[in-house]
Amino acid sequence: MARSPDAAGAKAPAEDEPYRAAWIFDNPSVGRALRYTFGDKRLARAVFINSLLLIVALAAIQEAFGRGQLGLFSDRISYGRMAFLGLVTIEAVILSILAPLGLVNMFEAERREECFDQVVASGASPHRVVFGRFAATLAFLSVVLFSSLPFFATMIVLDGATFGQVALAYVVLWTYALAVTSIATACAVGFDDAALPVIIGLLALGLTLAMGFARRTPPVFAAWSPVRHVVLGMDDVAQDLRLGAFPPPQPYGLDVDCALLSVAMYVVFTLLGLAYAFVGPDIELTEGLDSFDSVSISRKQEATRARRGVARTLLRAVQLRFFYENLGPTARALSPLIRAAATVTIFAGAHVVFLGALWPHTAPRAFDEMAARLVTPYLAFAGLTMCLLALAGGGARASLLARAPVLRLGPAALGRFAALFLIMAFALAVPALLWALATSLSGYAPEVMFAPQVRGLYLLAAGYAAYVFAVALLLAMLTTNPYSATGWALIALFASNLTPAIWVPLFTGNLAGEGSAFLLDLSPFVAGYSIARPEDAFPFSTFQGDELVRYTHTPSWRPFALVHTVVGLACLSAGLALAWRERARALASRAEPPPAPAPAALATVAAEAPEPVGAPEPAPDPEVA
Amino acid sequence: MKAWRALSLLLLVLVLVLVGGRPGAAQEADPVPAANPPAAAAADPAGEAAGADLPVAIEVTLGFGNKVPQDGFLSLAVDLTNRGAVTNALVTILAQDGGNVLLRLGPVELEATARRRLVGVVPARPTLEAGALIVTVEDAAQGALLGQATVHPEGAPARLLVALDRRGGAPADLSSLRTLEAGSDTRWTAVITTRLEDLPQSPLGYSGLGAVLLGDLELEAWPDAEARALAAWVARGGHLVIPVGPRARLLRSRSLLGRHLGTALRPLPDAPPERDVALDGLLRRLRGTFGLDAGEAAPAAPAPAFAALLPSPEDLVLLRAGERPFAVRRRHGLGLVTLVAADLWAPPFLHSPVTARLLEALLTDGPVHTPRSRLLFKELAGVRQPARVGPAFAVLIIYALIVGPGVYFVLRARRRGILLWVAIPLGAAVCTALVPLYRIVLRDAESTLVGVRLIEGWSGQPTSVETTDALLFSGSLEPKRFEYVGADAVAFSVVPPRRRGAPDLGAALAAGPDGLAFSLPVALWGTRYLSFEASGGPPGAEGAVHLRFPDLAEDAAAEPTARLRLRWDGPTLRDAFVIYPAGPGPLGHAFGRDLSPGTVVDEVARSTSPQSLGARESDLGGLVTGQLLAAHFLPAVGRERVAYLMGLVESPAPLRALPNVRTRAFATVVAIELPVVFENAVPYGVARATREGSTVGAVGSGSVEREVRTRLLLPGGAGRQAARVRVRVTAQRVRSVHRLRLDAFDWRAGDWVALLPREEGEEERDGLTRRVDLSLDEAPARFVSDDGAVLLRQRFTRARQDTDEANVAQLDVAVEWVEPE
Repeated sequence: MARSPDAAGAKAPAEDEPYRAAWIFDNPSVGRALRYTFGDKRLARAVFINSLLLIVALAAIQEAFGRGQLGLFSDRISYGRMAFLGLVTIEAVILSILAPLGLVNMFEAERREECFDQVVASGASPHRVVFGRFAATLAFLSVVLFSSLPFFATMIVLDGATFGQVALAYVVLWTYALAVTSIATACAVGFDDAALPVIIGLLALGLTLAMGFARRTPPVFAAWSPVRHVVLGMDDVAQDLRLGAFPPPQPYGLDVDCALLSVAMYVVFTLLGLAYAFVGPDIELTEGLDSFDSVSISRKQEATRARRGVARTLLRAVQLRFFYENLGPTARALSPLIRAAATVTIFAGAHVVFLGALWPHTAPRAFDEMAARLVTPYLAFAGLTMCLLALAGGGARASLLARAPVLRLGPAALGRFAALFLIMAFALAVPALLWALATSLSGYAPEVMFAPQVRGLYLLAAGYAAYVFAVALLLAMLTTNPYSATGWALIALFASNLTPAIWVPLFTGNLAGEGSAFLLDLSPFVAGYSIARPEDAFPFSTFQGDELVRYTHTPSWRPFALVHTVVGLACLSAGLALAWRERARALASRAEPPPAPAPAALATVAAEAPEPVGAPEPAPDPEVA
Repeated sequence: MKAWRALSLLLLVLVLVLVGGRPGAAQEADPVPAANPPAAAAADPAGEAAGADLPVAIEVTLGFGNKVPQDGFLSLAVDLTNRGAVTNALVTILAQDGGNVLLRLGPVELEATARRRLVGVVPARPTLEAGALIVTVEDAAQGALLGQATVHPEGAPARLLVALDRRGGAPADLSSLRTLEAGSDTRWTAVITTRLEDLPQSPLGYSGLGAVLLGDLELEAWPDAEARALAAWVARGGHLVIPVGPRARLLRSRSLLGRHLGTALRPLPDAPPERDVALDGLLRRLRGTFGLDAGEAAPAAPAPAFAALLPSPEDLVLLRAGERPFAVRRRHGLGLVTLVAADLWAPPFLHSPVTARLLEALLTDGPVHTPRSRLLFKELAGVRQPARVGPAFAVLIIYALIVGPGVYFVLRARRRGILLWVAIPLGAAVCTALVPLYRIVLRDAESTLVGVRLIEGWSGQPTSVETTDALLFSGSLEPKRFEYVGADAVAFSVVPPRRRGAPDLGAALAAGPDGLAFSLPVALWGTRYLSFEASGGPPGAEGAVHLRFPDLAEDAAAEPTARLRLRWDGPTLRDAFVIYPAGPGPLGHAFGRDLSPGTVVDEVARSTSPQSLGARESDLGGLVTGQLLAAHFLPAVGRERVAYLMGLVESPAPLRALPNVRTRAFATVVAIELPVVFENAVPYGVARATREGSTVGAVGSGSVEREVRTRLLLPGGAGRQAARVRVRVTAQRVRSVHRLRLDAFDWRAGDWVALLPREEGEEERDGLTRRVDLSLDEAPARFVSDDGAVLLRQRFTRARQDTDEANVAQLDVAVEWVEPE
């Protein structure tokens, strides 16, 4: 049974569990989860199946080793080493499957039984449920992983691995389990805890195996797999078997130990996952947003949304958001900052890793040497990520109406709306700064690394991302739902990207002439091509009557830049104007902030009143817009 | 606060990642001890400059002339110059690509400011595939790097001909040597070696060569190891060409090489050479044969020294200078020795264009050295040997049952299920603590070995060649020690083929004049395939297979009747059988009994299909015999027209492996080549053909008329009278063979008799190949000389730049002798 936070520090009754006053043992979920985890046959079954799989793997490897006479190829090929790789692979597979499964039905059971509201009304902190399940899953995985120790010890006896290699494998596997569990936790909180953890498990399994054994995967990406460091350690065996070389990861040309890189990745993903689990779903429960209204009783709206299948998703996210209203004031105050920091970390981290994987090990001497392997893939990645982040402008209205600022420094505060612009500015600057830093540290020639094509393509990608942000911002101000705003923004972008290509069939159908060829240049792909290959032209031909008409179009980026700059500025101006108006209206409606209601009151209000009642807000403070 | 802690941890991780990266650092966990320099540093062009700062300077010589053959092995010499203090050094040669250790030399003591040479043998193909070879010298005790060098091997694109002569140059321009072998054009690369110290000390060092041309290279000063190595290589399939000139006595009586070659030099008597022998006739014929007879040639200088050659009946005289044999070829084991009476580095051959063409003729159809392990590998490597994994798996299964359902049900019965979280880790820890005990089991575990020994000999020859292949399965962790007894023994490993084809040769392991011993690490439950080669004594068989043919005029492909006449003096030969050539394919005869020592056999063969002889699925010897028959000996019978006596002997294995290695199966297969005597007839495909050409005259400005004489020597034909002679003419041409100009020499009349052209007649066609059999019915005996040769002549016109091979027809002859009364 949950206790209210006010009861913290009260003396525990004698019949209660020991250490109950401590946070972790006062957690109904942890206690129940531990008893469920260790008292149920799940653990015994998992340990038994894990051991059986390991035995089968050892037998299969022994058969393949003997039948294929692999030992004949080289004295470096031994059964022990092959078996060690097999054991690590099996454990990675087991952890990939079991880790997300521990988070299945974390909330779904209560929601299906329609008692989730009671959980929320009890005032229990969502962290206790979430992290309780997280800790229980980790304990479960730890026991399963530890139960494989005799198998690895046998490999030491067979001279297949050293004690250090086994210890390193355990560290990598455990941190891998930590990362997958953390990611699954965040996804279970943010999206779905019924089927999504299973999908995450399958994805993790596939990536682990594919990246672990693939030769052509960029080594930096391949370090995601907990098997990779063992595979690299057996590069000599692969060479003796003529399977090719497995290159170690060398981000930015630096030799980095694969296991260290893997652990670093897992730690970062763990922290990110825990951060998102800490902050919960990103839904503002405030007036002016229909995500809040979706829980109001309006049968026509409910029926409409139900037909579209959206109701359940929105309802779940809003229910969890209500659950996260049970967080303490400190946690609620820190959540926007943590969310912003996690977003920035993901963006920057992805760029660091991606560029590191592509960065050439020798200085390129011309743009053409790096165009295909570095510039194009990285700038494509940068453009895609910047645009994805720019679509966060669809949440501008929610940011504008957010109750808690991102950062408060004394009397000054940085609101979410302003933070949105800062994050976008950061995102636009990161690729350029990262590129410049890598060039400087590598000592490569700046005139090559900052060739006009590179600068032009980057400006094109960044400018287009800014345009996407402006469009999403405007649409956010015109709608009341971030999902709708993002959807409309995608439609608008899709249309604007593809429409220029219609000129081609119009020209070949003699419905458009050369004079209108500039419309083709409005496509970002054509504009990018004109920057990368300024001398290339597109040949077109059509028949006018019996006469063959040829037209060679030299693309240019100028029409694209002009049109999108004008439209983007217009959208931005309009969006800011609407935002100013909306902000003023919201401030006026909150002129007298109500006192913070008890958590039970929220549920009562939600159940009784059709009018949306805002959650308790801190005292209005001047916010930085 | 928790957020700040998380951020701090994140920053710490990022710092660790950045600090953990060090440019150019090696991240090695290489199991190869001690000798493992960073590949990145060795590939660095500055690596060699860095080696200059180290105390030991390294010079590496690869093979002959730094040319690496495409197959086999090559010798490697490392010259070390120590600029520092006295040290005990270990030299390691490893491949840059993959880091394979190809060779370890030492440890040796390097004195201060002293130069020391170490020699070894490395496999050719891995050397070529290595990219570059990294040679490191390390302190044997401390492992400190004392010297480093990088070598880039250069592959020889063709077969290698190595000339051993102190004079430093080739006798002629050998830059475009080509031979036509089995229908394909084979190029040769010639390399000159002038120093004794560059000669290999192991027969394996010659194994990648096509032939060796032995000139004047201080024959009296050859060390024993180098002399044995060359002689052993010849016996195992090498081709040695010796322009004797004035060196007959030196070779026969004052050279260790001559002593070790033994009976290979039988045609060379210990006699002084003839002086100033004119060879104009020979040179004229050679120029004509090689198409170098355009224009008048200046009189050639006489040969200052001409060795006397006394060929035996089993020897083949390739060329004569008048009545004197000029080039004689003799079988020596699996190889050939070709003796040339004159010194090619002396007039009239020095710098003559004839010399290169002469060498091409001598090199054509020479042996190709191929290790017999390539024949034995397929069957032997397929033998499965079980691993003692049962105890390990049993323990692990019991463990799984205990920590899984076992502990669960016990605790659940006591309502203490929560204690699973203690019981399972405790069980795992206990089992882990017991696992090291398995090492005690492994320490006493038995290893097993299966092996095959192939003894090849030749009737009447005093030497034999032994190949012993062994597949060792290691049941324990200790390195294995191998001891082998044999003369001029070498050992190397063999690895499976990467694609379809012959297995690859691995590292050379040891060599020794009377045997060898070495240790080798073999992974637990792993296998190693080793091959040992050695020279043996007389094979213990003398005799021949006598073939009597029915009327070949009725059926040219009729099977002969074979009579086996031989004496066996070796150990008891089990499952003995003989295979011999007969008609379109070989036939066999199983004795049906063991041949004990002293057995004399004189019986008519019961012709059976040879595929069924000796091959048995039930034992290793039978399996290997079947494989050898199919892969080598049956094709050899059809190709060489020889017979083989084969069987199994029970003899102690010359190979011993320690410790605790049990020999599960070991078979000794004997294969003795027996000559075939054609009693009453010689069928097609038996007569040996030699060809000489000459230019008859010019036809226009771009063509010449050529005359090619083909001399077909019939075995056993000396002093016999031919009752029937048939000539087979085979050519690839669009027009009919009947339109060729072909004459046969009438030895009695001393004139040519025209055979072709003639009226159109029967002609067999197979694609572009046309064939016709001509019967010389009128007094056929006149076409066979007293020494059993048939001489045929073709005349044709060709363009100057063309070769005779494209225009001349292949000639063969079948003869039936008159039966003596």
